[in-house]
Amino acid sequence: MPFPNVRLSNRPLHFIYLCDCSGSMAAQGKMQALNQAIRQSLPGMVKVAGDNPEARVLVRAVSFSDHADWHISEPTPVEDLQWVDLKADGITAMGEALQLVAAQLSCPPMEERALPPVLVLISDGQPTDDFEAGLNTFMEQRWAQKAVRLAIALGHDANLDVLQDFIGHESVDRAQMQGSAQQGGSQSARRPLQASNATALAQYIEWASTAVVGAASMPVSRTKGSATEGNIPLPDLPPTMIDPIDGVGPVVW
Amino acid sequence: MNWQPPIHRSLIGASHRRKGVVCQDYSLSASLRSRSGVPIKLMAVSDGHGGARYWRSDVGSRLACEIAIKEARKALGRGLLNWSAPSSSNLLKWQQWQKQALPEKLIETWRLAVADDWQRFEKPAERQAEAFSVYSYGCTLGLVVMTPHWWCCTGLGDWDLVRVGWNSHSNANKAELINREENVGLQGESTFSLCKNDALQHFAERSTTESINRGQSPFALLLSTDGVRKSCAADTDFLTLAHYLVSKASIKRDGGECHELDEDLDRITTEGSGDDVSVAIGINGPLKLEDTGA
Repeated sequence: MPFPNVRLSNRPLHFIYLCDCSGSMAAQGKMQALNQAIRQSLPGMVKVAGDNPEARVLVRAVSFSDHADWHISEPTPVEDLQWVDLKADGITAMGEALQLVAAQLSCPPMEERALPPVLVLISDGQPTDDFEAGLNTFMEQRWAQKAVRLAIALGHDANLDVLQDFIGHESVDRAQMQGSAQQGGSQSARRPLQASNATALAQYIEWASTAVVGAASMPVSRTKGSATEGNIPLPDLPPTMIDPIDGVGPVVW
Repeated sequence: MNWQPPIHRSLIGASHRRKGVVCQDYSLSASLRSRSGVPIKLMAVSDGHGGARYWRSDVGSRLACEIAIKEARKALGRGLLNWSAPSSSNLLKWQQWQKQALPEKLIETWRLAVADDWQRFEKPAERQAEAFSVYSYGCTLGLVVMTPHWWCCTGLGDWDLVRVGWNSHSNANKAELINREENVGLQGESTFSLCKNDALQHFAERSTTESINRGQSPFALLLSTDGVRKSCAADTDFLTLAHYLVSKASIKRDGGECHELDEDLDRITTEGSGDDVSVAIGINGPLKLEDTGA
C-alpha cells in the first residue's frame, strides 16, 4: 500500500509585532529607530527560519495610535516580508491593539498545531484607552496564554507596569525565584526590556526575532508549570544587553 | 479473537538529527501469558521532553517503557485472568488496577530507576557538580494492555491513541482518535510528565478500559507520541495516516520492533514536525484494511 495522500506540514510559528505609533514615538528618532531595527533584523530572522524548517515563521504587525490597525494583516512568510515604515501620530490605543490580536488568536484562524506564537509589544508611553479590558480579552484566548510574550520599553516614559501585565506576573515571580543570575544579570526577558537608545532597541529586536524565534521553533516538550521557563525556555539575553544603560551606548530616550 | 503480537518503532526526529540530539522517544511491546495461560499483549510509548532542563530524558523515556512493560507483565502474569469474559466485578478490579495500583508502582519504580541511573552514569565534566533532579529525566508515558476480553490504556502526557476498525454507520473501516491529552490549562508546548509530583492524578485522567464483545469486528489500536499527530495538517490527515500505518503493521505477524516502518516515520518527521516519532500497534483479529487513498 503506498503512502497515503495526507497533508504533512511543518508547524506555523506566528510572530506578531505590536508597535506603539503614538505621536511621542516621533520624538528623538524613536520611530525611525524602530523601523530600522525591524528592517535590519529581517535577514537574521530569515536565516533562523531556514535553519529550522520544521517551523514556518509567519510575521504580522499591529500599529496602534488613535486606533489599532493591522500594519501587516496577512501572516507573511518571513522570507517574503518587506517592511513598510510605520509613522507616528496620535495617542496610544494599546488596549485596542490587544483586542485586535486576540481576534486572531482564537482557533480558527489559529491552527491547532501551531507552535507557541511570539508576540512583541513595543511602547514608549502610557495606554490612553481601556488597556485592562483589552488585556482581559486577549488573555482569554488559549493561544495568548501559550504565547511567548515579550515587551520592549522605549525610554523612561514607558509604562513598565502595563508592559509587565502583558508579559504576565507569574513569569516574573518565577524568574525572581530562580534568581536573576541564571538569566545573566539584572535584566530578564520576563520583564520589560528597557531600551534607552537605538542600539539597544536594535539588539532587543534582533534577539527577539532570531534567538527567541529559534527557541520557539524547536519541538521540545516541557512539563506543565515548568516554573522558571515561561512558555518556552527563553534563550539568555546577550551579555551586552544585560544592563543596557551601562552597556550599549548613551541614554537618549 | 486474539490479539496479534504488537509492533513498535521509534525514530529520531529530523530536527534532532540535524542538531545532533539523540532520540528522546522510546517504544516497546511484549507478548506474555497469565498464570492461567491467557495470552496478553502490551505496548508502550514514551516521549522524553528534551531540551536543557530535561537532558537525561532519553534515558527517562527508555526506563519508562521498560518499567511499564515489566510492572504490567508482573501483575498480569500472576493475576487470575479468565479464558471466559470477565464478570463486571472482575473487570472493575482490573480497571482499578490500571488506574491506581499500576501507576503508583510505575511512578515509584521509575523514580528509583532514574535515581539509580544518576548514581551510576559517568557525568560530563560540566555536570559533575549538579545535584540529582528527577526533572532531568522528564518524559510522558502511554501504555496499552490487550487481553482477549478487554483492553485498557493508561499513562500521562501528550500521546495519542487511535482505534481503527469497522464502522457500521459508514460501512467502512474508520480511524477514531479515542484518547488524547486535553490541553486545557496547558501552556506553550507543555505536557503532563512522570517527573512531576501530580503524575498519579494525571494517569487517572487518561485511564480507560473497554470490553471486547463476542462477535465484535476486528480492530486495531495505534499508540503514538505527539510528533506523529503534530506532523499532520489536521486530525483527518492524522487518522488517514494511522489507518495506513495499521495496514502496514497488519502484514507483520511476528511482532516486536518494526523497522519496516522507518521509511514512513522518516517521511512523517521530515515533512512534518521534525520531532521524534514513535508508534506502537496492536491488532485484534484478522483486520483487513482497504486502500487509504494514496
